[in-house]
Amino acid sequence: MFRGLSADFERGTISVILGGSGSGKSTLLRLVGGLIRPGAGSIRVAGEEVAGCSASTLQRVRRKLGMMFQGGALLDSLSVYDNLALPLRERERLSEADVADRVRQQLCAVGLEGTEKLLPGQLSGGMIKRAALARALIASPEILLCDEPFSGLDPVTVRRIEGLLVDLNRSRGMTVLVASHHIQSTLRMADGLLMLLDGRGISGTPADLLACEDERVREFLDEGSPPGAAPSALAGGLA
Amino acid sequence: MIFDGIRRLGRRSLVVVAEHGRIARFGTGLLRAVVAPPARPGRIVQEVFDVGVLSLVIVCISGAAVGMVLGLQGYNTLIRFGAEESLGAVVGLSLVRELGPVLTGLLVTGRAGSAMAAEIASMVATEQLDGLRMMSIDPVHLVAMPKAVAMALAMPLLAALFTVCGIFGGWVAGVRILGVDAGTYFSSLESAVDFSDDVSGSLLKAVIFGMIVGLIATYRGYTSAPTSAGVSASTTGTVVVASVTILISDYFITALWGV
Repeated sequence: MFRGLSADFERGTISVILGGSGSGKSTLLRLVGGLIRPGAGSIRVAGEEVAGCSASTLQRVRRKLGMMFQGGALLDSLSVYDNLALPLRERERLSEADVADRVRQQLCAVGLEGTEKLLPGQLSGGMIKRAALARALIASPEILLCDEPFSGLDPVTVRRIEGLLVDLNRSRGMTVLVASHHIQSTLRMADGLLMLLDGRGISGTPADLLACEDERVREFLDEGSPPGAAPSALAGGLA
Repeated sequence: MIFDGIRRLGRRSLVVVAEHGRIARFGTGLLRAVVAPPARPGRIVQEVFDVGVLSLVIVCISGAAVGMVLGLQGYNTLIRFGAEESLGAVVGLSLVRELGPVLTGLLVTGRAGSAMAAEIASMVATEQLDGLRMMSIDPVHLVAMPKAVAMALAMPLLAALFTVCGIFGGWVAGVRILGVDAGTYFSSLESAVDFSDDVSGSLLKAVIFGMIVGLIATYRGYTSAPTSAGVSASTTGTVVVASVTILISDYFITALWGV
């Protein structure tokens, strides 16, 4: 899928992988998380090689990662509370009272108080995304991977999730890596960008991308512009 | 032309061998998960409920129906030789040694094995297992192992229930409908069926069938394609493969151990 792709995502920044459907954004995130092993090449996460590493190394790396999946990936047989409590019960030796505290704090942080007893099937799309974000964050990861966090959401919810991601980065210094094709959010929050085109990558800052002369990049940005606006109009989102 | 055929045969053989290797590796992972902490008794009990309690009605009704048919057929055959007093032994031995574990295995495969595979396959399709992996939680330990263990535990209990219902069905057909003496029915049953040989062998068979269904259902679900077609293929595959495996392994268990 990728040919000669090389990219760095700086620690403590928000990096966004942009690209059309099928360009490999989710695949790249799954490669970083070790869910897919590459046929060739090298992937280093938090200083450790994950391509071809042992299962124990992968486990160690994954303890530094939190991942928010596109569809939420919440266990549909468990309540929201139990979904969030699961990684704490499985990985950390905490009392049930401490687990309850952490879960309530995290639900509060994403604005999902009062949903503890609901099953994922009873939540709206936006609530599922926020619950998935809360679960990804519950074990305090160093790096957060988000697969299409804004897809299928209304503009208010998009702003809300975007605000949560920016706040996590600014207040906790968390490294955030987002795969998205939501251009306006991307330009508002990204410190660095990687645009995937035909298995290759164009990386830089949002300003670099806006100034890019590549026809395909401009076409992609045009599609993400509000009706009647030129790509440069998106630059306003950078402020 | 001939070489093409040989090549195709070789390719298919490799696919079959590779598939068996993957099942063996998955089975080893399951065994490792059984002994690795935590033991997950709560999840296993819940799964035993799902497999066992929810299969009760179908197992009881089928057992009674099979027993009644055995009663009728057995009586009609035995009366030709003037041996209708052996009806209890015929019904009991047929059910305990063979029909109880085998038919229960087939029924539970259709009822619970397919549901088990579909549940895991839909978890694959909705990235729930990947979600667990990203939380450093082994999906085999959390999801597959309790289901497979529950299947191995529930199968002998259900097979025993099937057999009891079958004996009752044989009694209804033989004693209540055809007029065989009730005392003769039960005394021939009691003298013919040996606990250490027949009953324990039957339970052993049922445990082995439970392990087979548990392994195949969890493997098929776990390795399904992450699509709705994958869910359906894993369900169908579980029923077909587990049913055929039960019937083939039944022959070998009987031939090798005389059970």
